[in-house]
Amino acid sequence: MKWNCGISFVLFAFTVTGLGAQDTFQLAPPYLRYESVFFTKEARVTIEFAQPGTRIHYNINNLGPTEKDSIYTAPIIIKKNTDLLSARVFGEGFLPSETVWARFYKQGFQIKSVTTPPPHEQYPGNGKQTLIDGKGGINSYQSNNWMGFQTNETTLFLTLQKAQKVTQVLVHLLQNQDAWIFLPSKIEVYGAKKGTKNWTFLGAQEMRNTTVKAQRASCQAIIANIAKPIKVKEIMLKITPLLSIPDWHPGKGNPAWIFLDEIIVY
Amino acid sequence: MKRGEFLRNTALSLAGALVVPQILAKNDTILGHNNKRYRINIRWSQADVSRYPVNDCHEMVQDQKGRILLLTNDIRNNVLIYDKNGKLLDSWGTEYPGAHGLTLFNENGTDFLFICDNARHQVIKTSIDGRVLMTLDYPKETGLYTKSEEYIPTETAIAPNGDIYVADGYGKDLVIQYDAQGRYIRHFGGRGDAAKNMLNAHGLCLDLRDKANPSLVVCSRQQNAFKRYDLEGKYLETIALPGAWVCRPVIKGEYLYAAVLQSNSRQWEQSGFVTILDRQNKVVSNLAGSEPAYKNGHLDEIYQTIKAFQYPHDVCVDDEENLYVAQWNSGRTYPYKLEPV
Repeated sequence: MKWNCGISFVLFAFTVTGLGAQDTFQLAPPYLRYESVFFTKEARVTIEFAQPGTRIHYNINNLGPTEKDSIYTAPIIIKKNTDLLSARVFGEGFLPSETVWARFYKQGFQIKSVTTPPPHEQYPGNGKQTLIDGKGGINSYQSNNWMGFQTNETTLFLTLQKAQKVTQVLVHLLQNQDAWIFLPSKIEVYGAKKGTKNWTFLGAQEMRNTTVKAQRASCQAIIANIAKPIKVKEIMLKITPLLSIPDWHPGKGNPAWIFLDEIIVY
Repeated sequence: MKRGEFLRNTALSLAGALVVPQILAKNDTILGHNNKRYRINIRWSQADVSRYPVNDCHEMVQDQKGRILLLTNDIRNNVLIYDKNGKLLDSWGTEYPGAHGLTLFNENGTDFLFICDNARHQVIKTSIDGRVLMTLDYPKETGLYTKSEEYIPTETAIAPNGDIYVADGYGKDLVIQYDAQGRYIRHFGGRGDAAKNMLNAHGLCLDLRDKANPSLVVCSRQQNAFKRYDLEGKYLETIALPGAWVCRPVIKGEYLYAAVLQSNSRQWEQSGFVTILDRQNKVVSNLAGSEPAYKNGHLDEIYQTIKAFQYPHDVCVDDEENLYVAQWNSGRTYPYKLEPV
């Protein structure tokens, strides 16, 4: 009922004020600034929004802040793995902004090296260490944290600093469907005690909703859980992209891109 | 945003309006900072959309009769001519599928137009009512182009002596200088890592504010900067505008105005605004953007704060200091008018 009231009032306002009546504009979302969403001890986040008369409200682990949530005044320190920070701006005379969010991840076991197939020449990332350098979580596909691939399958090899009982492998990805970047359809994890010949299948994660339309670009972590953890030093990840972009998209039928910026092993 | 959330937001803000009725009286949104603040009117155009449609609204100029000319890439009417109140007076043009740049030059009392066409890879000089007077093809003389497709001109600027400067903003990011008859003189800019180079040299204008030292201001849009050259193409300085994808610079009086296509931190998400710089190249106001702040002489990143615009592409400043903002890829919206307050 209350919502209907709102709508009819919009119509009323337009009718009575006639020409020259203006829409009520929406505020843009605030800008989250951080070095990386990956941290060892803590991550520091500042929120920017230089618009006098507005307030940034934020919370942690409860998406979509309201005016009852804290008002941002000083940098926020994130300490817990998978903490989700969300923020939104409110101000008189404007519609509240959409919510922006970022999820933060604690580093896992030390990874000695990673081998990837050659990334696309336009999106080479930041060198060999790109996927294990602790940097990433920037939504822009032009950030050099991202390695971009457009192939049928991308197979990566990781060598841990020492053999570990691995329970989870996290792959951090970009979703930006306007730029033909979709989440992959499947990630498979294999492990080996040493060498790269005798692989044991550890687990897999299938993504059934990768073809669902997303409103805007976002970072997403795909986590493959290992049901029966065993001690491994070598890890092989097989990432299958979305091989055919869905019909609702201008790129329909083409293979999608995948963009990765970090891999974490727990 | 989810639909439910939108409805809720609408209800909340309007419930506020019911309690405080005077919000209707001050319903007009004021945009900008310092001495450059404006009231925005998004219903300025009175053109009948079924008869005079627009696609991208790329650029606008005012002619000596005070009329406002809009260039769009809808070939049913490439040029729409308005009075300052938004009444459509005239239209012409069906031959400019890639209509992008519109520059007006008053030559000994007569107005002429220069159109840059992305799709035709040409610059076309016309009379004010659309008669074609001169066509410039791709600049073979530079020795840098092998075919017309490599040349995608976005904007022109005309010097007081009639020299034509063309920005190849979607091609090789060069500025090509011709004399008034269209004879090649030189080229400069181009891509590269040096300060004199540009990335997306999308628009340019003459800066005659310092009468003794006329210069050319060119945008390097993807670098979020303007670059200044003398009229012979010698690089002079960079005006950094961190965060701002600046389109063409427009100088009126002491100020430089520019549409900002989008905020660098939020690319391809309809995050545009308008920026205004004073004579010292300092940002004094951002319309629908962040309050400008400088630390140790460096501008803090600027960005959209109010979703009043989607992808602004040009600003026209009329003889009464009103602004008109034309937008690219923004749902075929007509230009908005902003009046100073």
